[in-house]
Parts: sequence; C-alpha cells; structure tokens
Amino acid sequence: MNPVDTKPIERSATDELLQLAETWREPPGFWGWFRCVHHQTIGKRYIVTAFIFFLLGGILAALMRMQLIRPENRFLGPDLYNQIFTMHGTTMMFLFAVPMMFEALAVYLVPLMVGTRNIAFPRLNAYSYYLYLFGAIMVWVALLTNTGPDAGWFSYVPLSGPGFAPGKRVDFWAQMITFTEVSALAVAVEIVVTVFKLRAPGMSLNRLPMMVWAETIVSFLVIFAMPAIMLSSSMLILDRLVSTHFFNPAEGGDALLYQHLFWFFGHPEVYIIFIPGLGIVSTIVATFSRRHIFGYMVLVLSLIATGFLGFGVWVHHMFATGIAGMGRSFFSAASMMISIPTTVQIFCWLATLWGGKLNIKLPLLWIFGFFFVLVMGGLTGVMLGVIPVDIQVHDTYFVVAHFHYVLIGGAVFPLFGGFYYWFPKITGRMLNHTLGNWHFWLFSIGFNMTFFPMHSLGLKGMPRRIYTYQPEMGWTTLNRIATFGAGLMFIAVLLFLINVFWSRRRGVVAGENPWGAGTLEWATSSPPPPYNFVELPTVNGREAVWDAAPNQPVVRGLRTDMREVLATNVLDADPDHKELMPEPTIWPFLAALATTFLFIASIFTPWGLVWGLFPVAVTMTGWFWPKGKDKVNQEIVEAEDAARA
Amino acid sequence: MTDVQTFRNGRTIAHLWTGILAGPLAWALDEGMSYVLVPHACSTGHYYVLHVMTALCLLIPAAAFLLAWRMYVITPPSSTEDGGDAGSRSHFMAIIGMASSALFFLAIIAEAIPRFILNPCD
Ligand code: HEM
Ligand SMILES: [Cu+2]
Repeated sequence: MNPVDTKPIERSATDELLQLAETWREPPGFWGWFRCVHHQTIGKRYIVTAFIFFLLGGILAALMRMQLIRPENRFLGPDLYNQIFTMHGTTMMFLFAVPMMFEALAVYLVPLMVGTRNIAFPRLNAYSYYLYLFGAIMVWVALLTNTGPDAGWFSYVPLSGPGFAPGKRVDFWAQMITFTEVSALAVAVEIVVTVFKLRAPGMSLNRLPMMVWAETIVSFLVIFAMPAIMLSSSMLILDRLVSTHFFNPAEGGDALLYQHLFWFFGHPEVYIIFIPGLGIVSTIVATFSRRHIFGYMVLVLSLIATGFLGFGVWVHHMFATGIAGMGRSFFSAASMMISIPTTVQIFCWLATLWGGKLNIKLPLLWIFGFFFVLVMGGLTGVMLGVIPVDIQVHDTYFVVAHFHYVLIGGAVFPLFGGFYYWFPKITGRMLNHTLGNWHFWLFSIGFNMTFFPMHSLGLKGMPRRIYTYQPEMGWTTLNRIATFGAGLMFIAVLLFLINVFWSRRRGVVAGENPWGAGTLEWATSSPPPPYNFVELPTVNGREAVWDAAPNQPVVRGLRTDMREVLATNVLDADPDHKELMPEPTIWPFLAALATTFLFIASIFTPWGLVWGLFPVAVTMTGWFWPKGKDKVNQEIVEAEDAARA
Repeated sequence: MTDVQTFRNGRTIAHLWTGILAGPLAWALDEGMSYVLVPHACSTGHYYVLHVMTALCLLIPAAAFLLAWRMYVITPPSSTEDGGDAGSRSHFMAIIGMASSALFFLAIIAEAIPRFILNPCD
C-alpha cells in the first residue's frame, strides 16, 4: 500500500500554507546567512560565485591579450605572465566551468525539476559550497600576493615538482584541487540521490527531463574522474612537501604517471563541462519549438555513450610524449568515435526545430550560436585526433583556438542561453530583450574575432604560453585582431551585467511560466517559494506541465509542520516512504572552516594534517549529533508511527 | 504476456542494467587490456594475444544484447515509450540496452582495426 494517497487537487487552507512557509523559511539575519541549507539559496550562491570567477578569469584573459597586442610588449613580464595564464586556465576550469555547469545548475534546478522540496543531504550541500568558496579565495589570495601558481593549469611534473618549482606556488594550485574536488564529489552524491530517490510519483526513468539526465550522468563522471586528480595532486604535494618520489624518475618514480592520472580526470572533465550544456540545449530546443524533443531515447543513449567514451580517450593529450604507435591508436580511434554521439544529438535537435512552431527568443538565439561554434570546434578536434596533425600543432595557438571553441561553444553559449531562460524563474523578472540582443551579437562576433585568428597563428608556429614575440615572426596583425575581439567580448559581458542588475528590479514580471515550458520547475511561482511547491506534483509524461491530465493528482499527506519530503523508488518513482529533511544549522559552515584550516596548514607542514584533524573532528561531530528541532521532530514522528502501529 | 510485477523484481532489474552497462564496460576493459598488452605482444612476438583478448571482449556486448533483447520481447504489448508504468520503463531500458550493446560492440571493432595494420613494436 502507498504511504501517501494521491487525490485530485484542492487548494490547501491558508493557514496550512503559512505553516509550510514557516517550516521551510530560511533563517534570517546575519548568522542566518551561514545556516542556510536550502538548495535554492545554495544554488543561487553557487551561480553568483561561479560567475564572479568567470569575470575574474576574463580579466586575466584581457590582461594576456593586452600583453600580446604587439611584439616585444613590456606590459607583463614573463614571471607574471606565467602566473596569469595558469590562473586564467585554473580559474576558468576549476572555479568557473565545473562549479557553474555542474554544481550551480544541478543544485538549483534538479530538485525543482524532479518535483521535491529540497536536495538530498542539504547540509553536505552547504558544506560543499563553503569549501569551494574558501578554496577559490585561497588560490586568488595567493595570486594577489605574487604566489600564484605558474606551471600551467595542469601543472605537469617535473616543471611543477620540487626541483623546478620552489616556493609555495604550485602547492596552492594542488590544494585548490583538493578543495574543489571534494566539493564537486559532495554535490555529485547529492544529485544522484536526489534523482534516484526524490522524484515526483510518475516520473519513471523513461520520463526524466533531459537536463536531469545530463546532470545525473555528469554526477557519475565526477564520481569516477575526480579521485584520479585528487590522487595525482596529493602525490604532487607529497613529492614537494615530504620528498616522496612518486614522479621522480631518478628515484624510481614516473613523470608520465602524473600525466596519465591528470588526463584520466582531465578529459572527462571536458565532458563534465559539456554534458550539462547539452542538457540545456535539449531543454531550450524543446521549449522554443513547443513540442516534445525528437529522439528522446537517442539523446539519452548519446549522453550515456559520451559519458563512457569520455573515459577512454585521455591518452590523446599525451601523443607527443612518445607513447608507442599501436598503443595510442586505440585512443585515437576512441577520440574520433566520441564525436559521433554529439553529431547524432545535433540531428535530433534540428529535427525537433524542423517540425516545431519556432518561437525565436534570446535563449534559442544562444543555442543557434552554440551550433555554429561547436561544429567549428568539433572539426578542429577531429583534426587534432589525427596523430600527425596533433604532433605538428602540439602546444601552439591552434590548440588554444580549438579548446576555446569547444569550451566556450560547448559551455558558455548554452550557459548564457540558460541564463536568459531561467533568469525569470530565479528572480521573477525577464531580462531585457534589446540589451540581450546586443550581448549576443557582440559576444559572438568578438568570440570569433578572438579565437579564429588563433588557428592561423598556430599553423604559423606561434607557441602557446609565451609572453611575447618578435616583430619578424609575422604574428602581429592576427594578434591585434584577437585582442580587439577580446575587447568586444568584454563589452558584451558588461552589457549582460547591466541587464541583470537592471532587470532584477525593473524587468517585466515573468509569472509562473513565461516561455510555456514543460518541465516541473515551471509549475510553481517565480521565484519559487522556499518549499518549492505548494503541493508536490505527480507526473503524467515527459514534459510534466504539457502532459498533465486535466485533473492531475498531487501528493497529499506530507506534513507541513516539519521539513518532510516524499521518497520514491529508483526506477519507477513509486511512493516509498516519507523522509525528514534537516533543519538549518551552522555546523557545515564551521566544518568547512575547519577543513580549510587543515588543507591550508598542510601546505606548509605535514603536521597541519595532524593538528587540522581535531577541529574537523569536533565540527563534524557537532554536525551529526542529534539535537534541537531535528531531534524533537524525529521523536514526534517516531512516537506517532508507534501509536499508529 | 508477463506480469508487470516481474519488472519490479531484482532479477529482472539486474538483467536490464546488465544490458545497458555490460557493453560499455567491456569496451573499457578491451581498451585498457589492449593498451597493457601491446608491450607484451611486442616483446614476445605473440601478436595473437591481442586478437584473442578482443574476441573475448566482443562476447560480452553480444551477450548483453541478447539479454536486453529477451527483456524487450517480454515487456507487455501495452508498454509505450513514455508510459509511467514498470512495463514501459523496462521497455525503455531494454531498448537502451540493445542500442548500447550494439554501439559498444562496434566501438570494440573500430579499435581493433589498427592492430591489423600496425605493428605492436612501432
Ligand atoms: C572570455 C574570453 C577568453 C579569452 C580572451 C581567453 C584567452 C586565452 C588565451 C589568450 C590563452 C592562452 C594563454 C597562453 O597560452 O599564453 C588562454 C588559455 C586558456 N584558456 Fe582562455 N580565454 C577566454 C575564456 C576561457 C574560458 C571560458 C575557458 C574555460 C571554460 C578558458 C580556458 C582556458 C584554458 C584551460 C587555457 C590554458 C591555460 C594554460 O595554458 O595553462 N578560457 N585563454
Ligand atoms: Cu581530451
């Protein structure tokens, strides 16, 4: 028998609503800020923080472009340039792209999309956010005190080892990895559990929204890929701090081991960034064609295939290291195969658009931009998969052009589309259309102007990571164009910021579902109340809002005086049991502070690990100790269950 | 016709997941093992080891395909692609299983081609 009965909808009494609001209210005041555990609050913080790091990474990019605008420029010296390109890559990959595409979007959207009141393990969620924030601040403070990492965003040994990189620069990089990866792993676990256990009744596996598929698959990628880099960065720290010799060939270590471990994470990371982008594209394409996505199964299969294949290509980053011919041929073959699922998806989207009643609004515009840029990036990617080409242009600006086409095309374009799409949901107001148009066109033109010439620069032999060049090289004009394009992108992003700040207060009021979309986050007010839905919905098709029956039932019988949610089973989302969600608390924040102390102290002395463990143990105990409202509620529920039985 | 309850029991569910996951895992195994075996094949001259490995790995997606296909056949005719019942959901998983087995069968073959052209000692 079902623990909840599903009855036709009827408005709850007002006092019940008030009680719900009271139960789920975020704690107010200054200290309340540190106690919040709701996924919307934490999700918004993730979005804002990751965007700030996008801006900071962008400022570093602007500095590099200014340095390269003419030959023999004296604006940045070689040492500073090293720190800046390393921190640009590091910031963009670890502090912007992964936290934004995975953590931020998943934490904010997934619980709404599956129709529940909060993410699973909300306290872990808060903890993950603070760790990310503290790690990011740590590495940026290091940069501002001239201890910024300078061995490239992947910090290859031996360059990053104790012999060639004295001082603490690389240690800050390696520890930043620890911070961000713990945080991503925590979110991955939360998302998997939220998707598998907290879905609205009726949302069986074959009805998951594409965005939820994307973030779930990415969670698994995180779980399998991140340990590899945590291992390699920890081994690097050990080599540097306590003179182990993991990567020191002179003592029987192996420098290539570092590259294997790094790229076993590094290539899947590209897909950790890219797959949520694909989810956004599927979502926006369906909404603005006003029809169910064409080829749902094919899309799901493509995402799964991409997820797996992404783990089998890492050696293509190491072709230039002299890995033997037949050994590398496997990875070359896999690198070519991995473009197939993406191509197939493009056809599904085109077919959806083809048969749909198109509604061309800003989000869709960004998706069109995505198609164009991605095809370009994909083509150069296939070229790089060909081993002789790769060896020819290895470590030139051709590669820089390629990965910016893929990263910006695959992630930033869909992301901006997603911002225009979900901004009304998050704030309750629409972004301005005219400013949005300027943003799109300036950004697209600026983007191509910056990165297209870099292909030629690469073919002309300009190496990456050089702080200047001689006038005789003939690279000047193209570099000038690239810098000018970067300026356009900069203006475009400024316009976007102005739009956000203006529209937040004065934009057109959005209402519940301004785009007429089909997924569950649109079945509640904008912005959603802290309890997400007045009554938890049930689902009757892939697009819950479009496919709802005239008298679609809702979930009844959940408590309004406690943070109760409905747990359902993994495959069919049949109601299973009720579950209490934890109340706000400051302990995850304190635990994150303690963990930060441990991580930073252990950069300087191995004893940091020992002394750091005590505060971590104390705060974690405080976190898990049953107490306060949680304990009282638990006892009430247990007593009532006992009375019923 | 099979009772819908069948699709909720652990055995059936395990079969459905096997259909989906065995193919990709076999491909990963094949790639990893091939990479490891190349130096061995070169030093001993036993090139056949590489072919035998791959042939064995091909059996896995083939079997997974059959399993998924069997599941597909027993799903009730009332199943639809996007139905909310356990039958429809199994129908979906069975199709994904067949497709993923087929896909990764081909992926293993694609990665096998170079070994007929290249020499492990290059
Ligand atoms: C917004 C405009 C951007 C501009 C103008 C820009 C510019 C550049 C330039 C000029 C370099 C090469 C530095 C060198 O080798 O000397 C570079 C490197 C890099 N960029 Fe960007 N970039 C931008 C956005 C992004 C984004 C959004 C991402 C990632 C999501 C990204 C990731 C990287 C990475 C990983 C590197 C390699 C760093 C290294 O060599 O260690 N960039 N960028
Ligand atoms: Cu790669």
